[in-house]
Amino acid sequence: MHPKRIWRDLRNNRTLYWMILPSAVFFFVFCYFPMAGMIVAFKGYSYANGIFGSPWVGFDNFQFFFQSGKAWLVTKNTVLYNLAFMIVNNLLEITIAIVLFELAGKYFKKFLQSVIFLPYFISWVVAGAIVYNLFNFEFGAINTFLKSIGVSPVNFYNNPDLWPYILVFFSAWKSVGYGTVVYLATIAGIDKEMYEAAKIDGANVYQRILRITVPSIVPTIVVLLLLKVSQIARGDFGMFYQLIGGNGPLYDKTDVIDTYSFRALLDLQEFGMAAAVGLYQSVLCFAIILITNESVKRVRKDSALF
Amino acid sequence: MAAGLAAAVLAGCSSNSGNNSSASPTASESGSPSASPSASPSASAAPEANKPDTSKEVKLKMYLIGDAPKDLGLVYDEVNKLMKKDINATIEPMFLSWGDYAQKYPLLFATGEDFDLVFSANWNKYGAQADKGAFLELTPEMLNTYMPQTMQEMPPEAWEQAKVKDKIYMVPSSYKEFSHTVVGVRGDLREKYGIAELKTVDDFEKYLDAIAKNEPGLVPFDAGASTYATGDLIINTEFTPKLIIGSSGVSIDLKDTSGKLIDISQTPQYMEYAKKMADWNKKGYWSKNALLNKTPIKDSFLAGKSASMAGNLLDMSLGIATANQNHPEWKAELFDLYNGAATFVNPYTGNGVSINANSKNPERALMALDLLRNNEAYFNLTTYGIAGTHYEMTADGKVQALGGTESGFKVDSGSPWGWRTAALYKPQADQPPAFKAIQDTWAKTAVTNPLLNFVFDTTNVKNELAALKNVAEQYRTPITLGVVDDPVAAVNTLNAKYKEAGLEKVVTEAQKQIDAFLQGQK
Repeated sequence: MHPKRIWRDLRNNRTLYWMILPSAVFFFVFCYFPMAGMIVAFKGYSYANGIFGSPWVGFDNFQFFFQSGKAWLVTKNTVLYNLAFMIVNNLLEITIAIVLFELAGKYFKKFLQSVIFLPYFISWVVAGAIVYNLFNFEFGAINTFLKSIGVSPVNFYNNPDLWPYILVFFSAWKSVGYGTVVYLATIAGIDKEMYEAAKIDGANVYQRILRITVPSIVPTIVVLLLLKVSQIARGDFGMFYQLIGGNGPLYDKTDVIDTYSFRALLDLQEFGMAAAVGLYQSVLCFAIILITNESVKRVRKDSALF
Repeated sequence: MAAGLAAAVLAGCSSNSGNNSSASPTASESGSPSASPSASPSASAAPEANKPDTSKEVKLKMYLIGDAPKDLGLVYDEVNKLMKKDINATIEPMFLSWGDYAQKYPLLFATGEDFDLVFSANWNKYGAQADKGAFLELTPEMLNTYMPQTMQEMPPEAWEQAKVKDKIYMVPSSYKEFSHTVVGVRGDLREKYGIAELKTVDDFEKYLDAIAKNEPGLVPFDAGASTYATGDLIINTEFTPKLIIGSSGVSIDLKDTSGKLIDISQTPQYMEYAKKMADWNKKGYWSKNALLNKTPIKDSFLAGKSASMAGNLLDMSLGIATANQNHPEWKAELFDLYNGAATFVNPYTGNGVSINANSKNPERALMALDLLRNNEAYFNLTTYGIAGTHYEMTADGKVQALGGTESGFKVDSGSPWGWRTAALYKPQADQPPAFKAIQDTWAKTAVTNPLLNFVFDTTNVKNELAALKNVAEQYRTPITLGVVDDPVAAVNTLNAKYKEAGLEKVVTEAQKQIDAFLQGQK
């Protein structure tokens, strides 16, 4: 663009540009500016030389991760868990939102909504304690119940195959309430006249849901999914760390990139190696979101993020 | 993410209480120091001739690991009154809690924070931190000029141990410590089931067995993920290992001065140990889910939930003293199960103080440290608190803590281990009688070996160490706690995984360094 035209554009839309300035500054200071620090992933960091003065070491910091033989396993776990959470949680959220919307009683609806929302406010630390007290071998609620009906207790913490289900369950338990509210708001925004017209034309409740509600919330679904996809290589550290903790026998089924690198690096205190793992996750996320966004663009141009 | 941080904090809590113990003293105390703290601190100040210039007042900041006791401010007000007079400086201690020091400690240096003195220790990556430029190099000239009393008092081997690539970055504690494990049990229950005084691990097993069979309300030994006591009691009495490669079993047997590395995880003794732990776990000596147990074993014992505890001598002595105060009917007892097996004195670098590389007043910081270490008034204040309020001296020269559990400054609660010296650290009136006896026994069975001073430089094998650490957490901890169905298969898997993680490369590197070290000794 010609400089003169840029200037004219700035002047004509100055109010809008002023409004955008605070967030532009925010992102520059907190996102773009620190990005330069990413180079620490390629440096042999020492306190004395700082990030920029430390010597370059090429890809040495990445070595530990790929050499460990665990890189593929934990990456796979991270992505698959996130996919499972995404699909299960969104299906539940949409279903519950539609049911709540169709429910008649106002107070019952509010009550139900609050009950579902409540776990969202419970931290994973507390949730971890709840899970421990449910599944403990000696005094856990489930095993106490099993023993009382004469069934031999199950050692959950030594049984890795059960944990994908347990983790998906608790992820849904905690986050479905929040997502439901988002979908409820979207559904509430659908034009009421469409429903009235459908009713007059004789559509029953299932037809109304499938023909009006679902198509109307598809753009929201796509945007929410895209936002989730952009984080797909980042494990929910709080969740995995609190629910699994130091329980080695479960790691092959439950280790994600974040917990693995946390364990491996906590003792070593190597800033470069930690940054290398972070960079690996960012690059992975970036590639996946580009691909997904491009595919969405092909199908529904309006729903793509950019 | 907030949850993640909190997670790290909690996890740190349980695993670090073990480290806490390595900061505790256990060595024999021969000379009985004077009963009354010297009243005039200036009497022992640096020689007048080359006295450094202290005309400008400075404020020193000092980072310690631990949790600040309630009366810390009062105690340091007293310290600062003296210090202002002696070297025209004041000192302000700041604390990194046990919960998160592992994360925060390196950040102190990375963020370039302005402070002067900092606690350092071999168990807190002293060598690696020094290598990354965290600490100021302490030259002999500096030490001679600013720490004259320390230069006289410090055993020469302590300076040797403090060297990283031939440079000194730490003023170590000069107090001799043992880190071997002792057990604490309930005397009332031991007598009830007719078990003689415990002398060996087998005796201990009999006690645990009696509890498991007869006391359904008590966990015999409430182990958690950070409990390595059984390994110390069973493996380390066979070997006298100084661990060389962290997260593995590769050690030097200190009875052997040839410098040959042994991998304990591959020995038949380790296999026997793994079988025994699986057996103990199966018999219910501790929870099947012990990997998730975050309650320190001492806390569980003191709360009356379990029947025994294990840990280092000082920590256990304190535990026994507390138990007998709160529950005299328990008749809690302390036993040494080493039974004559060889012991060794910890390297002095287990506790020490370093100077921040960015300190603006390293001279005054060293002078302050010289006073803390060697001047009895300073030492007593920072270790025992204010005389008459927090402690008093008994007629036979022991420290009697005052105020019990309500005390605002318990003995050693201000994290003063970094400047603990053999001459000024006094015996305590509350210690169980077994304490001194065990110390004396261990001092007799202690072996010496030049390799005690060896420090492994891990620069070239960081990638392997990260992988080894993960293997240890995933495959070794379950063996330690016996939560494996087939111990033989578990040990074989462990060793296979160690090999995959590159243990051999690390062993080669370590052996190379040890050979060079021994060559240098000649």
